[in-house]
Amino acid sequence: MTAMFSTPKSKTLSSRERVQLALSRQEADRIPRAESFWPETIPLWHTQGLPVGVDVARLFDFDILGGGWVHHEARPGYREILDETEEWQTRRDGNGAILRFWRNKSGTPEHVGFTVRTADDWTRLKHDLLTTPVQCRIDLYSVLAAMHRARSERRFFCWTGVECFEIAKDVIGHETLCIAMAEDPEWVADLFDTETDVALDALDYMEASGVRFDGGWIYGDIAYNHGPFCSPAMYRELVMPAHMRLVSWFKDRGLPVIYHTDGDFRPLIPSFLEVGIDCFQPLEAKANIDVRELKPKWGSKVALMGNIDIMRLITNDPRAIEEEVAAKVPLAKRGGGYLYHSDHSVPPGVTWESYQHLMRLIDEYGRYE
Amino acid sequence: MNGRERILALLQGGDPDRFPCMPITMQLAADLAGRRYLEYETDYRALVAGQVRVAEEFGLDYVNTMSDPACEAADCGAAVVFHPDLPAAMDESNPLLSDRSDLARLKAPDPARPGSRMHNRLRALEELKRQVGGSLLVEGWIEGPCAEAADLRSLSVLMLDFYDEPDFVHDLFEFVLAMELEFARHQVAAGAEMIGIGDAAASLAGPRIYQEFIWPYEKRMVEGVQALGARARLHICGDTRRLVEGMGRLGCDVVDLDFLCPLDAARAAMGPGQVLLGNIDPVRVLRDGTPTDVHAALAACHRAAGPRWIVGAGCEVPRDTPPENLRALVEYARAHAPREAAKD
Repeated sequence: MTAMFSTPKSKTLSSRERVQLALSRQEADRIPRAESFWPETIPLWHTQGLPVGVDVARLFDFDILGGGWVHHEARPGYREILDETEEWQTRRDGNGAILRFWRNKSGTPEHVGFTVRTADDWTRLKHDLLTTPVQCRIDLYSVLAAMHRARSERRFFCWTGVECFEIAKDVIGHETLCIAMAEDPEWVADLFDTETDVALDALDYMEASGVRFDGGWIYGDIAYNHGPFCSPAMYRELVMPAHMRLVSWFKDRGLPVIYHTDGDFRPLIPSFLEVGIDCFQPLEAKANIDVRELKPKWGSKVALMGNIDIMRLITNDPRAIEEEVAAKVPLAKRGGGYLYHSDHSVPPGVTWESYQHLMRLIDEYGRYE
Repeated sequence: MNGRERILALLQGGDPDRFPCMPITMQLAADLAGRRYLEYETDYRALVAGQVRVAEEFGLDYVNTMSDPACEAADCGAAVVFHPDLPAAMDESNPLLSDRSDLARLKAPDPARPGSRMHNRLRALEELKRQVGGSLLVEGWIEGPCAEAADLRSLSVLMLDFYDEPDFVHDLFEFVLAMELEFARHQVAAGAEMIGIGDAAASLAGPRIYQEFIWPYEKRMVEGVQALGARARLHICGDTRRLVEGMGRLGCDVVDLDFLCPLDAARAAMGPGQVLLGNIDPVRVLRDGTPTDVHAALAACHRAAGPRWIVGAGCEVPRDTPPENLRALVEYARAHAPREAAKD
């Protein structure tokens, strides 16, 4: 099966160029597209008509390919099984976090407990973190292979990795982290700085090994459905310095940065722009984020990616799906600066037929004349 | 001894015939009385019917008027979402004080205004006092400073205010304190001998924020309630392990602990004199366990808490708790007295 959709200028405009234009808020031939899927989704689609062996990303002409994930565990690969049933498994990971996972389906693990609860605990973990060689944190073959594939397919190749808040959450949990941000900011600042150092070391190592990214796609869920996990003032004091360092790695090389955060991050937008972020993703509709509100307000300063509501897609109602696309994409794409993505990731409840319908709509509504 | 005498004897340092039993029942009480929960929380007659019924059916030592956290906020004009069969909740997306400057214009509601939710609670207390006040302790309820401030400002925004707008938080807590003590004054006049203070949101704060912002207002609230001649019971939902030392210095007559805080930790932090209430896991043990499980969990609480203890669950008794499990809880209280050491 070859590419399902062709675009008027696709022969002359590469995916890489299309994404670069969108991130610099210029119109191209069509809006770029990218997607994330739950692990169960594509295997289920194989039972619904998607031929096995067909690459969905190529089929739908997705424009971005990521690579270079940095493993931040203090003890990479550590995986101690503490308890298990037929349904779930509880295990301690390389950061000492005790998490409970479903065994037969994917999902966010339950935070059972964290070994690191105090600044002293962190000091002990930090020793292990800093004595692990950077080579252990990167699969260099995979990132080089991804880069070469992206180049051969003329796709935008970006680093996909996590920032300090996301990592700190994995080390000490949301509860301890949020309280420590208010009550022990020196500890948190050290945690953020150290984990940012780990990421920067890894980026330097990849670059020294020949990896060349077109941009960064930084993951950091710093908000939930009612707002950010910290106030704008606290963000500026505690998080922004670390974000600035990480984003600057890309800015120093003239590369754009996409920032992924779930939740309602709107109070942090002015600070994010100061940091130098070029694009917000995935614009979670469930958290009251609406690209139609963001575009007029911030569209001249930042690109926007996502916001196609999974809750509408999962109805599998063709009319509801078209209403969602028609209501958002034409406005969002105007003047450039919009990239397609769902508002989080596609769960198996969205049928293969519905997703093909969605992609046809994105192709139709996402073209520029 | 009747239930009222038993509770008061323990609180006064006396020697009750057995441990008092004071589990929180709300939805279970409404169901038992055959009332929709919306009716239970908005019509005092339904609440009274439910409380009397649950106390009689299971042999509890008290009745109370708590129903949902939105009573005072609703009377302030806040947007509240009512459900037919669940407790009312704040509309977090539409807080009354979304603009901080609105606090200066906010007037505390008059608890005696007919038709108000607070007035409905007062009618409930009067009726409970009339029906069972001679034999059961009648408890009223107010929201604590952090919980009520969260109801008015929204929980998420209040948590950010602690850091960004500390002066505003103090102003807001002063407003809440005055409003709640006025509500408590009316409740005591209506027949309440104990006032419960529910400060659920406080468990979301760390010890420094708790000590700096919340504790001083809880302290004044406890002292204010006691100055009215009532006993003060503090209940903070959630994990209070970080806060128990401070909670023990509030001077509460009863500290009612959620199950996430082990009683031995609370006892160690608060000393031997503090009356503790609770705190078996309401879901995993009381609802989902067996009578044997309930007995064992209470025995562990008993050993940890010692004689200054009241039998109860960590939080509200779930509505679908098997009756035999709630009876097992009451039976534990009936079979043990403070003067006896925990044996099993």
